[in-house]
Amino acid sequence: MTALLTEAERLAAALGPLSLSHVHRRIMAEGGQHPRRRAGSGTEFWQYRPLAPGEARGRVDWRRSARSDDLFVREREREEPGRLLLFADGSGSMRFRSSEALAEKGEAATLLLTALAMAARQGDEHVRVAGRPDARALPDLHAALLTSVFSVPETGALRAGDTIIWASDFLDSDDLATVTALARRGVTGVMLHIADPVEADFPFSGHVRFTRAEIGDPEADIGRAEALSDTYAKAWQEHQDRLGTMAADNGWALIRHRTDADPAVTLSAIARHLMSEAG
Amino acid sequence: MGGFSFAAPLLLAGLIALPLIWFLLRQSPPPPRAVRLPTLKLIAAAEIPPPQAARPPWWLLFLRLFLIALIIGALAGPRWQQPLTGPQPTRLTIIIDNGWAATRWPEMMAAAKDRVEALTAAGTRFAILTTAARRADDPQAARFVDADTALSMLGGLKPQPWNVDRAKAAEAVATGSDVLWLSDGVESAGAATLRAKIGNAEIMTFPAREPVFRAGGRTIAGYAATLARPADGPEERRVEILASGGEVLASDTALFGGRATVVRIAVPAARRGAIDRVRAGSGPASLMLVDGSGGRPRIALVDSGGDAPPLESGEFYIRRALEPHAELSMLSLVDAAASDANLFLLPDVAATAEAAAALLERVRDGAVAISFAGPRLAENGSALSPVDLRRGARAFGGVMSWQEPQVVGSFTAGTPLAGLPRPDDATVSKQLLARSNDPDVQLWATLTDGTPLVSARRQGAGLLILIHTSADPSWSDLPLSGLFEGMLVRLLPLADNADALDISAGAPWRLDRALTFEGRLAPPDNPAEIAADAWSDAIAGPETPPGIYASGDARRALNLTTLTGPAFAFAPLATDGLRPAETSAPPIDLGRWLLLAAALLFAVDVIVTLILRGAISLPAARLTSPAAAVTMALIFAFPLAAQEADGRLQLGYIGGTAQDAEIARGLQALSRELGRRTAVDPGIPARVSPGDKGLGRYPIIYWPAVARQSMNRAEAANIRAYLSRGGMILFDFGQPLGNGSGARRLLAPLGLPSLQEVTRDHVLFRSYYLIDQAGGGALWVEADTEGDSGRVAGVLIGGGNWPALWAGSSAVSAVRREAALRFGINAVMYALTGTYKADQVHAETLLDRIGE
Repeated sequence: MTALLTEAERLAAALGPLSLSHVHRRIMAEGGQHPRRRAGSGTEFWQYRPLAPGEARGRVDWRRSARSDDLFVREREREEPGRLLLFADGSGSMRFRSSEALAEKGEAATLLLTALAMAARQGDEHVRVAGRPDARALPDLHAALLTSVFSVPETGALRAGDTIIWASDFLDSDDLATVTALARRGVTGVMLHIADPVEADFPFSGHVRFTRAEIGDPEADIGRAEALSDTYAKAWQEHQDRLGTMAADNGWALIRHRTDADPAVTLSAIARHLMSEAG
Repeated sequence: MGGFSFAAPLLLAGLIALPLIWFLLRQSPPPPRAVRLPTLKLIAAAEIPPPQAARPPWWLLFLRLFLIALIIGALAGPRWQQPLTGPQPTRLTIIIDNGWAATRWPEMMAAAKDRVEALTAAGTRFAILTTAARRADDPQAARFVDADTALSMLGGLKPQPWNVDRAKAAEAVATGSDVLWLSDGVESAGAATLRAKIGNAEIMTFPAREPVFRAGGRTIAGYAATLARPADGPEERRVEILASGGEVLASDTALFGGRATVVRIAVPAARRGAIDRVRAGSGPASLMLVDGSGGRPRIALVDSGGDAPPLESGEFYIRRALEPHAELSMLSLVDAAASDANLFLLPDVAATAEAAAALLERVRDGAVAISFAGPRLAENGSALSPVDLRRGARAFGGVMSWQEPQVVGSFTAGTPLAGLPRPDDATVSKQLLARSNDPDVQLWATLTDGTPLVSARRQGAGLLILIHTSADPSWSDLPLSGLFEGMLVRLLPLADNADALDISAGAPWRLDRALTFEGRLAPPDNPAEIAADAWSDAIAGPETPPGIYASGDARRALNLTTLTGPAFAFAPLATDGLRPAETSAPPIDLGRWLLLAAALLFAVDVIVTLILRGAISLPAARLTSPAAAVTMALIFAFPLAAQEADGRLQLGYIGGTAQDAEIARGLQALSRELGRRTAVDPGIPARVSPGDKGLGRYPIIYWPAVARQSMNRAEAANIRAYLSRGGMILFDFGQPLGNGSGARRLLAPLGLPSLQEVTRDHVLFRSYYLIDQAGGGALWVEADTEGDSGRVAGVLIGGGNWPALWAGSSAVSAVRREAALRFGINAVMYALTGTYKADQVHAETLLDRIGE
């Protein structure tokens, strides 16, 4: 886990601070809460500061000022609409890797999301794991991503104006329904599709017995696996198309990542998307 | 005859089982490869073909059947024998040297058997003759027998641990028969006779390689021996001294300078008694049996109490004579009686009856006391003398005497001293005489006039012995002569068993354990004995085999040194008139090659099965071996290490093309200007590669696109790590950025966030000089690095082709060169100081205000 964290730190450092400013600008009109970790007009306490000359007397916080000779103003945290929420699919199919040299799909997802979280923290963004509002510090956040067990995020906790980065292989039929439901509530997001190279390429031949990755999956004993490769390639392409259509219909982005690809490239694609006007 | 044959043809019947194996193989195809695949559910269940009853392909079946047939064939032991090309005689006499030198006996036997087997088919009849000397009652004759009988006769032959008698063997050779002589390669007296008899015979020699003993014996410190080496024997040989159990007591290496050497081996005193044999190699002549294995006799030398200087004291001469043969201890009379010695030597000790009582008691129990005469004995007599002595010594040859000094006369036959040589030079000038002629007293030696020199008397179970002259040279020359030692050594065995007196004196030595050719001691096949007085002339042979001989309880070893002798040297056998034998090549065992082929086929089968299971893929071109990477890293690390400056800051550049020199010159010029104009004084620019691990020591790396247009994943990861730790790279595409520059391809793997054009307010343009452009079109850096955010750009992307400008190699105006240099200096400063100069961005405004 620490190795993953270190790797994520390196990726985040190369990525630079991630700011959702364009998102905020767009959402401002629609309203919404988004703490910016700086003084502003919010509801949460931020800091006391001395009363500046020429400032209205009504702003003085008398309770604090009575404790010393100076006059203090109570400042609240500036809040802006929109949060960045991260979600990693924790289902059994994500616990898969085709060779020891590769990361599991879930690990790859966690690495990407943790690096994004770090970059966004540097950009003073409000980052949380969907469904785990308690995880605030980075290591907690990382652990929460790594130990995710659900295949879809809890929709109730998401509000309009939130941006979700949802890393999954989107193999469950619930996934697509959830995307639609979230989009309908005004949540924008990125579908981060994680795939193992074996899943994309189907490099099998000869006598192969396919075993299941999670309960309920089919199993098959294939005499000549190469004969199945065309069928599989078609099915895989259909899956990709389905995801693309889903993302386009809901105004989300679909970004694909293979576990043998460079995470930095994927990260920069996500960052570009988030910082662009479309995000 | 030769040809193709099977050692076990019955095993070929196993081939009948092949059809059954065929059936079994078809029933068990190789198991499939199991793979997890989460995305399999993307395929509808209807599209998945039903599992088929997989069968191994026919050629795999054939391969396996062939493999099994090969194994069965190999087990049946096929052999190929090269047939002999020579004539095939009807009668063949095979003469085999089976004397002590036949140390390569197994090879000789194999050669004989090969020849017999090779001629079996031709119906040749064989006679087997051996040359080792034979007992007179066991002559041999040439009987011609068929091959099978000859083979069984060969099987029963044994080499013998004694000499060959080739002349005798020559008598047995039948005329009119071909002859094959398997020789041990050592010339002997009868060899010429045999050569003459067999004429133009075939000969095969098996020269011995083992060194043999010439002589050997105990020394004070252990054992010494001389060894002779055969012509092609080893230069070094380990000589081991063994106890009877086979334990190595001591060993040393005999180094042969020439054909013979002397080896002296020290044995710890405590173990000297345990010496049983000395071994220098295999073969009976390379083994010395050591007698007296019961231990060196323990002898008490009774102190006479005199203080004579060494050369005049009897103790000195006794010591010199006996130390190689016995354990001597110098004791007083009382202590000697209490010691565990069995033999007591008393040089001129005048013991009174009381003083000698304890010792006499020991003698009666079986010990032996040997007294020497002397002045004290002449005066006082001794209770330990076997005879009643006359007072005063009898002197010859003195001024008051008319008698000449006497020489030793004779040794009485049947006594321990019998047969000793009689030296002419040892004279006796004084002796003690007995008062009367006691019939119990035996005279063992006398002087020429018949007066006693050695007399002995039984006392209970033991012996009292008196030497009638002194142990020092004052009374006689005897202590100075070899006879003195000879006499004492003859008396030593008495210490072991005084009862054996009569036997050891007269009884013959009987063979107790015979030495076998292999160097073991075995009960003798035939009884053998050597007369007591013939022992010193005994030679090992068929009548008197080497081994341990016993007489009573005394034991002596008869070694092969009796026949080799102290001057022995290996003389190679002359082979004139003989022709070398045609050696039939040993049969080639084909079975092992068949087994090897089967093993290879099995390996092929394993690989094929793995391929069928998909566990390995055929184009195994995935040679991403880490070892290769390490090797490459080492190769490239050397020139880099050579370039490292003395800890000074260096500018780095990505190189590897013909432009390296040009770039290095440009960076050198920039470094020089930096040293001249600023506090930064860089060393010689260093060429680096994107995969290097030590990039962190360069604050800024110049990356010309002409050198590298792309990077792989590992390099990209390395560069990202360098950037995330605060490094900076100046990318130079040599032209204004646009579609043709290839910037996207080079930079994509770095996963850079959004970039922006450097504006006039960027800290990069303020870090040393105030400049407003970089040259070569727009310069791009990461967004949000103007200075107020505190972030420092990691990549500077432009197309100025700066090194050419810095070096002044392209024909441009001095103004443009200066502008390029200023940009270079700013870039280095920016890399080193980061946003430190960000406040300078506002300096203009501040100055304006001050002016107001």
